[in-house]
Amino acid sequence: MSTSVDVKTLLIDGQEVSARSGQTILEVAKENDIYIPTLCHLDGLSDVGACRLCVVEIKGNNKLFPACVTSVFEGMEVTTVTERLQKHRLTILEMLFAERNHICSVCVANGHCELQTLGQEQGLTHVRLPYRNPELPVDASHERFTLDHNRCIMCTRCVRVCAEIEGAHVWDVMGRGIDSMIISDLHEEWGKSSCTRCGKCVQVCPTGALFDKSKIGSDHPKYPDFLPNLNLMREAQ
Amino acid sequence: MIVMDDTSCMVNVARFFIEFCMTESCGKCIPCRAGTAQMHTLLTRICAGHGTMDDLDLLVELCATVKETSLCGLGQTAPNPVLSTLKYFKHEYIDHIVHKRCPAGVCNMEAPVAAESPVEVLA
Amino acid sequence: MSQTITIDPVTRLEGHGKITIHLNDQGEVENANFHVTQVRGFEKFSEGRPFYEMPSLMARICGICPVSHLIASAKACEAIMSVRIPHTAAQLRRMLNLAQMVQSHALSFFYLSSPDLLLGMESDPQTRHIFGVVGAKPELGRAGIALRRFGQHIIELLGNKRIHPGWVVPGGVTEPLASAKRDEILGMIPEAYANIELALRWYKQIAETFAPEIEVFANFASLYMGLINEDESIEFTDGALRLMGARGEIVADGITAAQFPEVIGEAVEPYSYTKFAYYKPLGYPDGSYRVGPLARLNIAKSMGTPMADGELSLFKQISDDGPVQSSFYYHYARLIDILHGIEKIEMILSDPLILDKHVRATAGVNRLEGAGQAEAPRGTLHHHYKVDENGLITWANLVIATGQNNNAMNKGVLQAAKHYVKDGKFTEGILNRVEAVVRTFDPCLSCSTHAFGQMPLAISLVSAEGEVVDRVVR
Ligand code: SF4
Ligand code: SF4
Ligand code: SF4
Ligand code: FES
Repeated sequence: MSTSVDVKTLLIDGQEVSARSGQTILEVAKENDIYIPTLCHLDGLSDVGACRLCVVEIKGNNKLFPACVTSVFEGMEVTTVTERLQKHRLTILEMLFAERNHICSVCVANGHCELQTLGQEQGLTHVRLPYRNPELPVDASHERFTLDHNRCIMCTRCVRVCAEIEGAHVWDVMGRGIDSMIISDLHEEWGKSSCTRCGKCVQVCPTGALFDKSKIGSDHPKYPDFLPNLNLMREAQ
Repeated sequence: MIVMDDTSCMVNVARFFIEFCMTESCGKCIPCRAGTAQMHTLLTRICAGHGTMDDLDLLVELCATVKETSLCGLGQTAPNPVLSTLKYFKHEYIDHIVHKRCPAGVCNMEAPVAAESPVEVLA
Repeated sequence: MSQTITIDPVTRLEGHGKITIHLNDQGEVENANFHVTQVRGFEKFSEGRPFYEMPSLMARICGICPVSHLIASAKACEAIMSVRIPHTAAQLRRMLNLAQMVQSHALSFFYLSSPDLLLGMESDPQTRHIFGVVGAKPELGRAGIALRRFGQHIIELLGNKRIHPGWVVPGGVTEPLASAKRDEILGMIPEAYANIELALRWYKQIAETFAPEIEVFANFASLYMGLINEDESIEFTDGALRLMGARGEIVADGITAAQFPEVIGEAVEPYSYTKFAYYKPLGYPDGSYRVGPLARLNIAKSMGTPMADGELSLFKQISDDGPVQSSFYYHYARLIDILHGIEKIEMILSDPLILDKHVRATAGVNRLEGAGQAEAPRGTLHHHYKVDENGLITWANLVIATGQNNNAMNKGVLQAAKHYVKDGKFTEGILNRVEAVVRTFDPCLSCSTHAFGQMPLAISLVSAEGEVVDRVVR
C-alpha cells in the first residue's frame, strides 16, 4: 500500500512553492533558498518559537506568525520582508544586546557569533534601549568548557541538544522572566554535573556563552551542522 | 474594566501593570521577557522625573513589538495599559517628562541625577 | 597674590592629563603637579572573569601599547598555570614586543616630540606637529612614519591584526610563524636601518642646541629600574628586574615578578588617579625611581646587538659618574631602543627554530596566584592576579610605567616651571616647555584612543581664593 503524500502549494514572497503537509514555513522557505532570520531554531533540534525573529506575515491575517513553528496550508501567501517585520526584528535584537553584557571586542565569539552577525545583517547600528548591565556569574568549573551567562540569550539550544540528542539532559532553565538562567543539573556547577563532556552544547550555542577553554584567543567558529547528519545516521541504524 | 479618579497617576498605573507582567513573564520568548523589563525601566524613569521625550517614542515602539511578536497572551496584552493610558492621558506623561510634575501627586520626583559614572570602562 | 596656572589638557600625550603650577605672593613657582584625571577601573572590571581571558581583556587598556599588556598578562596567567612556554613561542612574543617598541617609540619621538625638537619650543603652535615636521624636514618626517609602519606591520603579520592581537595567549601563541611572513619581515629590515640611522644622525646634530633644556628637564638623581638578562644585557620580555642607585650602584637585582610586590610599594596622592610606585626599603618618596628607555640604558651593561652597543657606549659617555640623569635623554634612549629592536628582530628571525610548530603549552589552574612582568615602551609593566579554584579572577593589580615615573614627572615639571616661569609671567612657549618635560617620559595615561593633532589647550591663572584671574586659549 502506498502512502500518498499530501502536497500543498503556496506563495512565499511572490514565489510559487510546493510543500508537504505538516512542513513549517521555515522548512519550505529553506528548501527554496528563501532566507528568513532565525536564532532559536537549529536544524536537527525541536522548535520552541522563542526568539520571534522568524516572524512573517500571512495574507488575510493581521497577526504575525513565527515561521519555524507555523505549518503551511494550501493557498497560503507568505511575506518575509516588510517594513513592519524589519522593525520588530531590529527591536528584538536591540533587546538582546541590552539585556545582558555583550562586549564583542573581548568576547571569544567575536566574528563567529550568530547574534552579532544578525545585528550586522539587519543593520543594527546602535542600541537605544537602556543597557541593563546585570551582574552575572561565569561557570568555569568544567575541565574543558566555560559558561558565561553574560553572553547567553536564553535560546535553549543547549537544553534541547543535551536532552534530545545526547540524552544527558544536563541543562535546564531556572527562574522566570528577565531573571531566568540556564542551569546544569539541579543548579550544580557544570564541572560537578552529569555532563558527558560531549561538547554538543558548545557547538550549537549561537553566542559566546558556551565556549571551549582551549579556544581562548584563537578563532572559535562553531559547527552546529553536525546535527542533521547525526540524526540521519541514527535513523539509518 | 477598572475605574479610577484623579487621585490616580496614569503613568504610575501603567508602571504598576507592567511590573506585574514583567514578574509574571515566563521568560521563554524575547519580546515579553526583555521587552516588559525595558518598558518597566522606561516607565520607572518617567515616574521619577528622569524621562525624556525620546523615551516616550521608545516606549511606543516597544509596545508594538511586544504586542505583535510575543508568543502567548501574557506578552500580547502586556502593553495594553501603557497604550490606553498613552491614548487618553498623554498629557500626564508630558507633565512628568517636560514639567517634572505628577498631576495626581503620586510620583515622587527626585532631582535628576547625573547619568555619568566616574568610572569610564570599555574600549 | 598667589596664583595657580593650569594647563589642561596637556597636548601631544597619550591620554588626558593636566598640569597646575602654583605661584606664591612674589610670583615665584612654589609647587607644580602633573595630574592624571582619568580612572578606568580595569582591575575592578576583571573580577569574576576567567583568567585565560585576561590577556585580551588587558590589551584593551591601551591602544598604544596593547602588546606589552598582553605579554605581562599572559605571563601572569602562566604563573597560575605553572607552565613554561615553548622556546619558539617565547621568541615570537619577544619579536612582537620589540615591534611594538619600535612603533610606539616612533610615535613618541617623531609624532609627539620631534615638532618641539625640530621647529623649536617656541615655534608657532599651529604648525608644531608632525605635518609641520614633514614640511620642514621631509626625510625626517618620512623616516618616522616609515618606522612606525614597520613596527605596526610586523604586529599585523604576527597577530593578524594591528591593534589588540589575540595571538598571545596563556601558554604561548595560537599560531606558528609562516615562512612567507618571516621573509616579508626580513625584507623590510634594510629600510628600517636606514631610517633609524638618519634619525640618530639628526638627533646628534641638534642635541647640543638643547643644552639649556637638558639642564632642567627632570634632571636629578634618582633610582632606575628595568629588566635585564643574566649577562646584564638589556631585556624587554623575560629576564629579571634590576634597581640601580643614583651613582650607578646596584640597589637590588634579580627581582622576579613574584617578588615584585614585596619590593615595590604604591603610594597615593590626592591630586592624581595614578598611583606612585616606590622601592619599599627606602620608603616614599625617597624610593621613587624612573623606568623606561633612559632607565633601561642606565641599568644595562650591553644591548646584545652590535650597532646598538656602539650607541650605548656613546650614551654612557654622557655622564662620567654613574647614570645619565636628565630626562631629556629619554629621546636619545628611545632611538637606541629602536635600533636595538630592529637588530634583535633580525637575529630572532634567523633562529633555526623560529618556524617550529610547537608554540603553545596547556594547563589548568595549578596555583591560585600569579604575577608577570615585561617592559612596555614606557617602562616596566607588572600584572598580578589571584584566582579561585575554577580560575575566575578574584583580585587583580597592575603597576604601569606611568605610575612608576609619576614622582619623577612631578619633580621634573616643578624643576622646569621654577626655571622658566619668572615673576608670575608665562608665555605659550614657556608652558610648552613645561609640557615637553612630561612628553619626554611619553606617559601613557591609560587611554585607549589617541586624538591625533592639536588638542585645545586652556591655561587659567587662578588666585589663591580660587578666582580665575586670566585665561589664555590656543
Ligand atoms: S555573544 Fe556575540 S553579541 Fe554577545 S558579546 Fe559575544 S560576539 Fe558580541
Ligand atoms: S557537553 Fe555536557 S552539557 Fe553539553 S551537551 Fe554534552 S553532555 Fe550536555
Ligand atoms: S548558553 Fe548558548 S545555547 Fe544555551 S541558552 Fe544560552 S545562548 Fe542559548
Ligand atoms: S527561529 Fe522561530 S522563533 Fe526563533
